[in-house]
Amino acid sequence: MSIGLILLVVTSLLILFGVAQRVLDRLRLTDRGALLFAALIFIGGLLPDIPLSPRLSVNIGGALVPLGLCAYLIVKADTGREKARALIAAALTGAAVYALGRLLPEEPEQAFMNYNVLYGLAGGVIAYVLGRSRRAAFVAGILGSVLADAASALALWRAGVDQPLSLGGAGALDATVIAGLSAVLLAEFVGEALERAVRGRRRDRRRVFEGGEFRERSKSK
Amino acid sequence: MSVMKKWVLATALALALIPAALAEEAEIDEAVYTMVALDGTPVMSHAGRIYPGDEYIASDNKLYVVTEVDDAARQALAQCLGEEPAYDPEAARAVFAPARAESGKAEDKKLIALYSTHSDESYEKGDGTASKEGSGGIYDVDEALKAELEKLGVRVTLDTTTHLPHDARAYSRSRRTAEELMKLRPDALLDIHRDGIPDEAEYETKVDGQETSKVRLLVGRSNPNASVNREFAKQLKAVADEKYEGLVKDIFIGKGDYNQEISPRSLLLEFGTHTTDKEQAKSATKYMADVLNTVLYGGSASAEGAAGSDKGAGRAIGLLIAVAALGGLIYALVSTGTLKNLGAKLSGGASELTGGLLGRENEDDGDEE
Repeated sequence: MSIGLILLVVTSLLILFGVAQRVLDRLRLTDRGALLFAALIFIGGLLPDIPLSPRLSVNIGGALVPLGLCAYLIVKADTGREKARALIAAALTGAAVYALGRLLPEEPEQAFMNYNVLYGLAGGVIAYVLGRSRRAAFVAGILGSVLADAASALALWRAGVDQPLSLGGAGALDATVIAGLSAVLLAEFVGEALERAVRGRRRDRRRVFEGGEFRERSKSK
Repeated sequence: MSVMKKWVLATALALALIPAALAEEAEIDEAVYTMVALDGTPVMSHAGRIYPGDEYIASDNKLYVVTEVDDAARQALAQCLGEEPAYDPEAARAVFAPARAESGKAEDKKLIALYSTHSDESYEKGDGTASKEGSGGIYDVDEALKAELEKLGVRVTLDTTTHLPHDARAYSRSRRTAEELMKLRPDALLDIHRDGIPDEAEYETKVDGQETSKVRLLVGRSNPNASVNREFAKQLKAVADEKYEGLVKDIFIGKGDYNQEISPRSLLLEFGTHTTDKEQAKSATKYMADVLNTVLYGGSASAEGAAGSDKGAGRAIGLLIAVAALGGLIYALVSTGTLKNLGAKLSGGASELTGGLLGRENEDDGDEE
């Protein structure tokens, strides 16, 4: 059982117990929607890759489904600024993942932590710093990994090395999925801890959290 | 917008600093470390850093555990814990029963999958370079191993997809290949490498009067399958020691996962080092193929009655789930504030998911479908 599968199982368990409900609210998913999303990643990962060109293919569970959710989150973002923030976070994460890949020690025994989780943490930190956004963290983790993969492949192709690129090819166990899930979990965990530390147990009675947004509490309530 | 620019700048700066800080460590990592026993006797050398907690099973089956590492001297101090217990037949049966059960019926069911994460790895003698951008000399060793296994009636799927460049994400890329290979349900999944220590003498041996390279087996201990992968390595070594003494150099159990969590019968094999003559590395495949065939398909052990459940992996998964559950509970407590709120949240979640069968619907949650 890999870290990816464990993260998937853990995430599914968290959803089942309702603990991660707030995270999912922020990803604009209902609990059932999120479970369906997890199932699509898992099952899609087992299906054959979809070839896009002789050397480029995409895995349904490992890339297509997560990228679909990213697109949905960006399209549904309320403001242009939020959209821009998510895209900037993704680009920065892509650059960070690429740089980390080139500069970190290459042998797994020399890794101080699981690199796939580390890439997600980079995405989570960047998205959180940019806009305290869990949605952007997910987009940064997924899209950042895909961008870094694309950059590596382009560099090789330009150098004349004909190496195929299978985006999200390892399905649910792929670095892409692990990075996306780690990013959103980190942003939520750190964000929640920091915000609670600042806010304490006080509640802002003027506002209510609804459908993933803070709204002014309606007067009738 | 200016606030945003500041954040972008700060983030970029912070990220630029991470690799700079790590660059120094990376230099250390490329060095060759020597493992020495507590009395100062050299035990082995290893291309890359050695960490406290790493284990090493020497050719004479002595088990060493690293207690201290001196980076300046590139030396790891290791305590000898005596002889490593011989492979546990119970565990071995659990690990290998599925392979035998599947293969016992027909020869064409025997299947071993091969790939090479570090596609550039080559041999100075034979390829003229230690590293080739493209398909390295290591694929010739893959081909040789495939041919030798096929001579013994084992089907082999060799995936020649490259995973360049040879950097920290090489294993993320090769995981895609490994996952693809696992869809074929092979009896073993082998990642073929060559070592990077400069002294070729450490890998020189003679088997049946023929000069050949030794083979190092590598197990990643940061992987839930580590204990079963270790049993697999130990059994390969036991059979090799019996049939071709000196062929298996040793077993290194280092930090990292090497994608070995994908299968209990996955292993990393190092055929010689970059200074080894490639022909010697290729000649070692003949013996290694026989060892693999014997361990996976041969011998007298029957598959009957073996359930094929690997206890080591099960325990690891249980532990991980327990840790994850504890983490989830702490998170839940942080996010809800009090135990009472947590109870209400869990109950509400259970109610929503089961359509009200379990738990109690939240009254003040404002849940909407």
